[in-house]
Amino acid sequence: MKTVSLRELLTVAVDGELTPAERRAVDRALRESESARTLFAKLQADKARIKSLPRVAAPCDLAGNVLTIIQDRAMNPTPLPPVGRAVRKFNWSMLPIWFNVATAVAILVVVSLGSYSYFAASQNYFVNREQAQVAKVPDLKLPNYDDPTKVLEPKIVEVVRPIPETLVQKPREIGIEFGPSPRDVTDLLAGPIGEPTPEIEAVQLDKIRVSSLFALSDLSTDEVARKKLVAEMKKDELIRLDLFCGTTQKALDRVLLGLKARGINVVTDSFAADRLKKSASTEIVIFTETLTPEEVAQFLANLGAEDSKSSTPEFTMLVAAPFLPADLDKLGKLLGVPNVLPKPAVGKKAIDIRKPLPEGTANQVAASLAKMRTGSPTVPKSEKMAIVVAYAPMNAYPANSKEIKQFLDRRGERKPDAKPLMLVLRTIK
Amino acid sequence: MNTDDRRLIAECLAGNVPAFGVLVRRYQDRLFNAVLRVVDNAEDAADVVQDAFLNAYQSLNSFKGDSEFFTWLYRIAFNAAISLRRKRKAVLSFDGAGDDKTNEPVDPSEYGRPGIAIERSEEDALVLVALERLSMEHRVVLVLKDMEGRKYEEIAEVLDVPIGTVRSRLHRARLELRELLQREE
Repeated sequence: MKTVSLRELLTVAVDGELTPAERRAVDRALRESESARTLFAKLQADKARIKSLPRVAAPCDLAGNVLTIIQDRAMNPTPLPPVGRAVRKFNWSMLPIWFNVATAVAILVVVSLGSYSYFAASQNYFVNREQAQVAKVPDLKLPNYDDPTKVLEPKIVEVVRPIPETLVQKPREIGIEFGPSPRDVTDLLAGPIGEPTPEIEAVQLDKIRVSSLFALSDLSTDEVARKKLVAEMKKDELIRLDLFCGTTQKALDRVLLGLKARGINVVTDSFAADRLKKSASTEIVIFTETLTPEEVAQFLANLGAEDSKSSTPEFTMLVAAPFLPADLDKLGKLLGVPNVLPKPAVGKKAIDIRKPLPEGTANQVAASLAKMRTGSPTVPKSEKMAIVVAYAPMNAYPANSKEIKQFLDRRGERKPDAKPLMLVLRTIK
Repeated sequence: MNTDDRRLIAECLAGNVPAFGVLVRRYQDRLFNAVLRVVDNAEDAADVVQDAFLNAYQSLNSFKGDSEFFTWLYRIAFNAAISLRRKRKAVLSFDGAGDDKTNEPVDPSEYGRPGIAIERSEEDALVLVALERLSMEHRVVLVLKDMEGRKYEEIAEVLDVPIGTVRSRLHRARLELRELLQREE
């Protein structure tokens, strides 16, 4: 049976950090004990197995990212704080012995004198108190021994002490007291009774907003639910919807199909695509700015109807949550831009016909006409776009994503009545 | 300390940022590999290593050169990895044990390197699972000793614990690992 210390020595031997004495002990144990030899061999094999684990290289863009961050944040090595004058610690051993002895003696003397003064003072106090009590003892007159029949009455001598003024009770002056004046009963019924009771303010439930739940399959049939959803979406500047589904990949396919049917170009961030391809657990966000609340409701209703028709329904609940500033921050992080929302489209200004036309207008008109004649294609400024990104875990470097860049470049201004939509696909697990 | 490292550090302190890039490229693979075995997730490992390099750059002035630059780097990275792991553990225990991520020794979303396929061999998988089951302090000492070949003294410096603690932790870690592997075999 190996002792604990021997087992420890064996592990240290595997580490190769034995002292010469320990090595001798281990050698002896290995020579004599079969079980020690077995354990030692197994421990060595374990070490070899760990050592032979394959080496995984770091991401190739790691160094580049580190340098980019250093440059972006203008980082510099933090300068060390100036070294101040070192505070010398007081060292008792540096003092001469006589000083220590003198200090001890001084403390003893002070304590002795203090004790003496205290006890002396307390003794004086008791002596004075006793003397004061003796003064109160009745002054007994001794009997007249010349006339034994005549016994004198004892006479008590009282020490008269003046009573402090504060304790002297002055006689109370007695005056005429009047009772409270009677209430005028006639006025009671004629006028209002005092202050009116303040009304208890009702709790304003309509000011408190909570998330609303909808069954996606009901949206196509339940008109009331759809109107409620539209009303919820109109309350905020941005729409945040959480759609719960069985499998992210299948659910996303159906959502994308629906968006494409509405003529929306969808780009998928490669990070999200990669995760979906590998069937790694992920949550997805679809962000678009091309739909009005009514269109979103219609789109979801259609999605629900299609889903309920299929043999394997994917969607369950839809949650319309109030949009919070934190959501906007998250959206910014997902897309790698500080401010996600572009300026809303502004209506065209009325043209003042009294103002003269700017110079060069004629040239611009001529150039445009020439273009029309030659049939050169006019590139639309903005497209109906949507982006799919991973919500959790999110892409750590969204600024490097080509797809996100493409989306941000091409999305342009949004319709005046359209609202940004952040649709999060969540799995129920 | 390595003379070349010393020169590069001096250049960094003089404001030459690309010199730090050389240091990063020199040590990134070793550091990443060691941290990966501690956090079990390639994305987390990449984040930890990146943060470690950034922290090292920012506190480069405080590096006195008494030890190797890499030992100092290890110290920063392992502290970050251990705290991340503890944080993750707390979150997971709060969320419940049903999360499938906990069962993945290596994140499948990892950068698609060909090495991963080799790593998933049965033999390695057994060792990785056993390593994952070890406590954090046991796993860290085993990684530093067996994978990185560090001495007790260096491990003590990285973890900021006495050498005796390193020795006893390694002893317990080896016996625990043996037991786990024996159960699998």
